[in-house]
Order: sequence, then structure tokens, then C-alpha cells
Amino acid sequence: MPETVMRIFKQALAVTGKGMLALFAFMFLFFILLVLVDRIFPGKNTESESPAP
Amino acid sequence: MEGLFIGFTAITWKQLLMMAVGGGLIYLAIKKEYEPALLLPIGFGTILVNIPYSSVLDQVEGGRQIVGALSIFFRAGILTEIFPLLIFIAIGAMIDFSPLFRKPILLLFGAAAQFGIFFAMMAAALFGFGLKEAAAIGVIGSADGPTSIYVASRFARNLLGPISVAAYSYMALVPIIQPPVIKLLTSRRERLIRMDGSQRKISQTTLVLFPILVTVLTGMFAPTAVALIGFLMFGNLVRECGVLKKLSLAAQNELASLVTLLLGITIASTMTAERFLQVSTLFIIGLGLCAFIFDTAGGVLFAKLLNLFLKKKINPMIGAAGISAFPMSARVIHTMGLKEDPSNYLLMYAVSANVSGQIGSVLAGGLILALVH
Repeated sequence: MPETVMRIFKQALAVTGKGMLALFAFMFLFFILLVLVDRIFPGKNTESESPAP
Repeated sequence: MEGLFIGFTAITWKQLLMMAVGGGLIYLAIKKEYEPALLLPIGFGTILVNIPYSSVLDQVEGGRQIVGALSIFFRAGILTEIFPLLIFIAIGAMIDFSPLFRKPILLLFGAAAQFGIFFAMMAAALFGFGLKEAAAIGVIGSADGPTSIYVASRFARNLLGPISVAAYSYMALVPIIQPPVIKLLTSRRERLIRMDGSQRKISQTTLVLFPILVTVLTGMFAPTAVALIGFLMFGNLVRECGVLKKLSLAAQNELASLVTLLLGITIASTMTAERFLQVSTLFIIGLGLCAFIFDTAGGVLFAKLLNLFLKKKINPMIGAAGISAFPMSARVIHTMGLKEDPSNYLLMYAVSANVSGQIGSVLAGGLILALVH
């Protein structure tokens, strides 16, 4: 494998690691945000739904 | 008189082949209904730009530069990133985040199902593409046309044509690509898992605050992603604010239709024979398929991983809906669930995962822009 290709592959690997980690971190933050905002401003008319008709 | 036949004498077999490619895209758009709003303009545009001395592209005539209409659109709409960003406003106005609030954990699938982006990027690097080109190719796996175009216009303008065609073609092929991958990675017992939840109403304050807070939060950590996520969330705010109904409808319909039309035909300006007929195009088409396969696998395997820790198990097929192809992927999962058990309705959960995929794909595009130098 040419050296340049390996160098770019290693860079891509690093971007993958950082990218996936950051993506999950952001989604987890949004998850917390979503739960918090929903708790602070709850909606009305709560009703349960059966999973299948 | 000679001038009348200049097209016939100057045309090359490569240009004829590209016209056939354009015809093929028009066929797929009309007969198979594969993303017709995009593939039809791209197909017709491909024919336009491969006519010798076509006046839709910049030409030099008698030492004088004549400006072509599609070249103007390309410089004004793609190079400035205006067209993809306008599309994000339209998409944002179409998204209803309320299903996500009912099952927030599904938000994580929007991250897991982006794995194909990174897998394809690494594979592209191994095939000899530069890092920026590899990243642009990987973003086909966002299953989100405007994000692919946005990143490609920054990182690999020379590959914009094949990347766009691959992105939109595979989005249309989600019903063919996803089911075999899901079946391969799940047992029948897993596919039969039922899910329960509530269908409570979400307050308007919550729905208004969410897009604003997401934009600010993303912007503070990754400013390069602000344009992408900001325009998407702006569109959503217009939808949810409740006082801009006309604008919201205009964004969802007229803006979306008009910009899609312009985006499609403008992308076609890069589909000239000398640019498109390269070995790299074949690699891009192949790597795009890999990206979609590994997106699906990433989502399904993450759901299986979560199930190891959850009391109430998640149907792992839902994980595959974490890609951005909305609502196609959600429908595919719902149909697969019904095939296994006609009384198992997964649509609401699949839609939630699919909506999270829309946030995830845009975010992934922004992160790629921030991380790749």
C-alpha cells in the first residue's frame, strides 16, 4: 500500500473516531435537552396508546 | 450553412454516452419514480450540457466569453451554497419533531445510522482519493441530497455530479437496499419485538424552543455546522411558531419545489462527458452503495447493543430508520414489521428514528466540515 494512501487512511480513521464520538455526544446532548424542555413545558391531553389496534 | 451542422460534426461518443445517461435518469424518474423531482432535471440537464457548444454553459466564441445560464446558476447557487441551504429551510418546515419527544431514546439512532458515512470515507481513502474527496464521497451515506451537495461543493467540486447522482439514486433505492441488510443482521424473534409508547400532545413552547436551543448548542460547539443545522432549524421554527402558516406552507411547497428544480438542473452542469466519464465515477457509485449498507448495519447493530441494557427491548429494525431518507426508510421498516406480524405497527417509532436521522445527517455533514482539513 503506498505511503500516501496509508497516511490519508489514518487521517480518515482519526476523523471517523472523532466524528462518531462527536455525533453521539451531540445526540446525547439533544436527548437531554429534549427531555428537559419537555419536562419544563409539558403538553396537555395525555392519553395512552395501545401498541397495536 | 456549415454552422448549422456544427453539432453533428463536433459531437463525440462520450457526449452521446452522457446523453444516454441523461435519458436513463429521465427513464428512472418517470417510469420507476426514483426521486423524480431531482433525477428528471439532472437527466435533462445532462442532455443539455453534452450538446456540443451548448449555450447553457460558458463558451468562448471568436475570442469573446459568452456566459451560459447553467454556469450562472452554478456560480450563484452551488458555489455560494445558497441552493442547498434554501432546501434546508424547506426540509425544516416539513419536519415534525413531536414523535421524537414521545420516545427520545430513538434520537441516538440518528447518530448510529451515520456510520456508513465514515466507513465509505475510509474505503475511499484506501482507493486513493484525497481526504477531502473521500469525505465528500462518504457524505453520500448521509442519505441526504442537500448535505451531500453542500459538502461536495466545499470539498470536491469536480465530483459534484457523480456524488449527487449517487446520493439521490440510492435514496430512491432504500426499499431495495435496506431489507436484505436488516434481515441478515436480525433474527425473526427480534423482528417480531413489539414497542409501546404514548401518543401524548407536545406543548408548542417545547416545539418552538427545541430548534432554537439545538442551533445554539450546535453552534457553540461546532460553528462550522451552524449554516447547515441553523437553516434546517430555522425552517422548523417557521413551522412551529404558529404565526407564519403561509410562510411555512410556502417553504414546504413552493420553495421546496422551485429550489429542487434549480438544484437538479444546476447540478447537471457538472455532468459533462469529460468530468463524469472517469473511473472515479464508478468508485463513487460503489462507495455510495457501501455507505447506505453500513448506515443500515450501524443502526441495526446499535439497537441490538442497546437491547443488552434495556428492560423494554427496541425492535432492531427501527435502528435502520436512523438514516435521513425520510419518510422512505420509516415506511420500509413499518412494512417489514407488518410482513413478520400483521398486527405489529412500527410506523410511529420508525418515523421518530427517521426524524432523528435528519438531524444526524446534517450534523454529520457539519462535523465532517469541521474535522477534515
